[in-house]
Amino acid sequence: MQQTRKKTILKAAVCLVLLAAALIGLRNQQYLLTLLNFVCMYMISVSGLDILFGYSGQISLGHAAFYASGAYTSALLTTKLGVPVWLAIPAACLVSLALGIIVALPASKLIHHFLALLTISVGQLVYILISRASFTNAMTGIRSIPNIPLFGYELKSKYFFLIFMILMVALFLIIKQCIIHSRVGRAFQAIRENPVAAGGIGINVQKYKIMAFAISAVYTGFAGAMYAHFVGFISPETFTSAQSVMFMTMLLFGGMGSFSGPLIGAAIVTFLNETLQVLGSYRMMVYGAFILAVLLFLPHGISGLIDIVKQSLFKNRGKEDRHADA
Amino acid sequence: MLTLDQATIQFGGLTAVDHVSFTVEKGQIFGVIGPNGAGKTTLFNLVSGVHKLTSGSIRFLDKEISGLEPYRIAESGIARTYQNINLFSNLSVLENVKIGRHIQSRSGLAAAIFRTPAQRREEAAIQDKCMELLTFMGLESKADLPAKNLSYGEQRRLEIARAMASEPQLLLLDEPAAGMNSTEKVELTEMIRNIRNMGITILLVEHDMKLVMKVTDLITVLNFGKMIALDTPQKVQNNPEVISAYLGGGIDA
Ligand SMILES: Nc1ncnc2c1ncn2[C@@H]1O[C@H](COP(=O)(O)OP(=O)(O)OP(=O)(O)O)[C@@H](O)[C@H]1O
Ligand SMILES: [Mg+2]
Repeated sequence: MQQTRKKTILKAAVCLVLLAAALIGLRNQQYLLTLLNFVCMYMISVSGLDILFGYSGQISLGHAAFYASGAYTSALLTTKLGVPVWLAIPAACLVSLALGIIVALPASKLIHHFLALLTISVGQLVYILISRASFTNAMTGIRSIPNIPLFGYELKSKYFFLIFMILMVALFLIIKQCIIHSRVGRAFQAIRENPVAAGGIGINVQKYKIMAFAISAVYTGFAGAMYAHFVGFISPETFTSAQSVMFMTMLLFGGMGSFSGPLIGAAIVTFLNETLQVLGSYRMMVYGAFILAVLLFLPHGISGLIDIVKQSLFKNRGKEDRHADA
Repeated sequence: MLTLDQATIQFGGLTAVDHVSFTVEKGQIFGVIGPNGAGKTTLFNLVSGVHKLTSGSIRFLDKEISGLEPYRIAESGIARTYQNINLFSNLSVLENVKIGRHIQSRSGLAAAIFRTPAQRREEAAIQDKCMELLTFMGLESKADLPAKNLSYGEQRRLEIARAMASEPQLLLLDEPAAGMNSTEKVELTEMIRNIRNMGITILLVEHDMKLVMKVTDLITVLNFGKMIALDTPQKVQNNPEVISAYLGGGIDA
């Protein structure tokens, strides 16, 4: 135990030093900084989707709805009501939580394709709402969303926003790990593995399904709020079903039900999207083919591949190094 | 402790359990036998809430439990294993048993996120209790393996360990010996007795007659959903109606 703990601390320290060096090197790379900020938001959002789909086994193809509820709540509260940003962000999380519970009430009774259809419709409903309603300025969207103030400064520079986002990613990941490795997290996984047996051993399946939805909605809602404050402008185009599909792609690509999967997926898919811009209209085709290949040949995503490589490299070091959640 | 009164369930035109009445007393090992398709598993599904009665009643500790959700019945002190193994197959053996502790532990979401001292104490206690149970079922060396990697017999024992983790008062075992070799069966017999000696009442469905005759105090025999006998093992073995119901199958099969 002591040994592995020391190793973990050492690993974390090495990562931190590398991260700091990378950050210093990136100081003036505006374009990269923007991308990295988005990657961080996606990491949080996709980690939330992982709690729902990867751990509790409930699919959602409408997570853009929660991304929107977070973004619009924070944007509307700050621009129209003058609510301080630091109150608007928790409010955005709460509204997303409430939306999560509302969706989960019927959703917790459905499985597989019915759940997929329901979540798609929720995504569509929210999109229609924000693109038609006058209080959301319909297709015009919301401008001049204030930045996040921190210790009397605004996180105007992308550089400082990124440092803040990295801290938030760490916070949300720690919370995720705490949940997964607890009685609640075990209940989620029991439901994913075998709902009949889960009920039979005393787990209130519906309650925990709703809880997973609510937690997931908070993650994605928070990411949405970050998006609004980072870009300073939101409009319905960001919250289409394509966004929902992208979250799911990131999760499947990175590998679900794991710590690193959502992180890897968010990073690679974001950069892939950008790199492929040069291909113009062929972009979606190449992108689609690439994703399809990964999904077909790597059922556990990239993180699953890394586990396999690790295992074959360190075969004699036993199972201690293996990914605990994979 | 458990009383069935005219318990009946119909699937379409088929009456899978037909006006079955019996009482299981505390501390008994109560056997349910009968040929394939007699309704034994369906009876378990009724007691554990997977299926709802068409008519009749099921009382446990003087409370009506028919109609309750399965998780409520589990909370009231009934745990079960499944004939067609229902493990959390991608989770580790230890995690499977830990999930069995669900109703015996309290920590919620907030406690998990903030890792409160009470939550950490509870987790440590869960860990100890579950390792103890795995040792009891002879699975301690497999704790970290995925449940699906276990042999058939081990999976059956894991199901019992998981059920035991919920500290039930009544344990339903649906064909626990199926797929086990003869040494495993001998061990299982001993385990079932030990479980009863811990004060747990057992309802046992089993095709292995040697095992059933060895451990049970009372046996009920089902045939086409109907109860055709309720007696001690010796008397059931010599009951002509039981013998004829088993013709073709063979009572000592
Ligand atoms: N969910 C269901 N829907 C329809 N019919 C069912 C259902 N469950 C069981 N049956 C039928 O009820 C009858 C009793 O089945 P059950 O599984 O209880 O038998 P069993 O005594 O456990 O048999 P075995 O010894 O083979 O396990 C069978 O005819 C079966 O086909
Ligand atoms: Mg059966």
